[in-house]
Amino acid sequence: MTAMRNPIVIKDPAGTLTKKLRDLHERKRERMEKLRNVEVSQTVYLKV
Amino acid sequence: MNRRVRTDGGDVYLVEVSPAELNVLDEDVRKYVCDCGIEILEVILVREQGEGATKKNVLNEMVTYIADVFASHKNAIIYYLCDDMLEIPSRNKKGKNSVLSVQEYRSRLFSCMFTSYVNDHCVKGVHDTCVRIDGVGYSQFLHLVARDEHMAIVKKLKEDVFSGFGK
Repeated sequence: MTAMRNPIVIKDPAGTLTKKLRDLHERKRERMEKLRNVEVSQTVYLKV
Repeated sequence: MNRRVRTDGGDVYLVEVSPAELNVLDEDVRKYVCDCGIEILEVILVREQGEGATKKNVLNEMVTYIADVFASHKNAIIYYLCDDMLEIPSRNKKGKNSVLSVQEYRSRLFSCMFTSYVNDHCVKGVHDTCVRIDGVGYSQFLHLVARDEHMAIVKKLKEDVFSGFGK
């Protein structure tokens, strides 16, 4: 087992990845919105 | 695949683990992933209700669910994109970590939870690879969790990001 807390760093000074990353985030945001209050088969109740 | 977690404090979370959209990847990489029979599963965590700090047992519940899905999918690679949507109520805003962005906070928390889980459950041969992309005025973080035998695919995915996702 390893956890690479030293991240692999990709430098993007020219902004080549900016649009792709924005698209990824936008898609994730859409999926998150769709998931809100969706029906699920399993619900776990926890005492905190 | 999803699971809802409700706390008696009124907080409600949803954990979703589902196939990631691969359109962003280079076509050759996508084909390689498919030919290897690999499923890339994206983790999405949504707070549906409440503003309470997320307690350790809630985090443990979420991590356990993700780990169960991963364990039952022998050809899966877990993918988590650290987003900046919604604030983090439990975030330390005074200490040395107060300068961390929301994305970096989530990335560190993901790494901590991964390490904690594998240590507690004596998991061997599973790796958490964190990728940080430093653009102009921002840093983005993503994680890939994979078994030993799938590290070559993780390498391919990293290379694809390096090359600008096939441009």
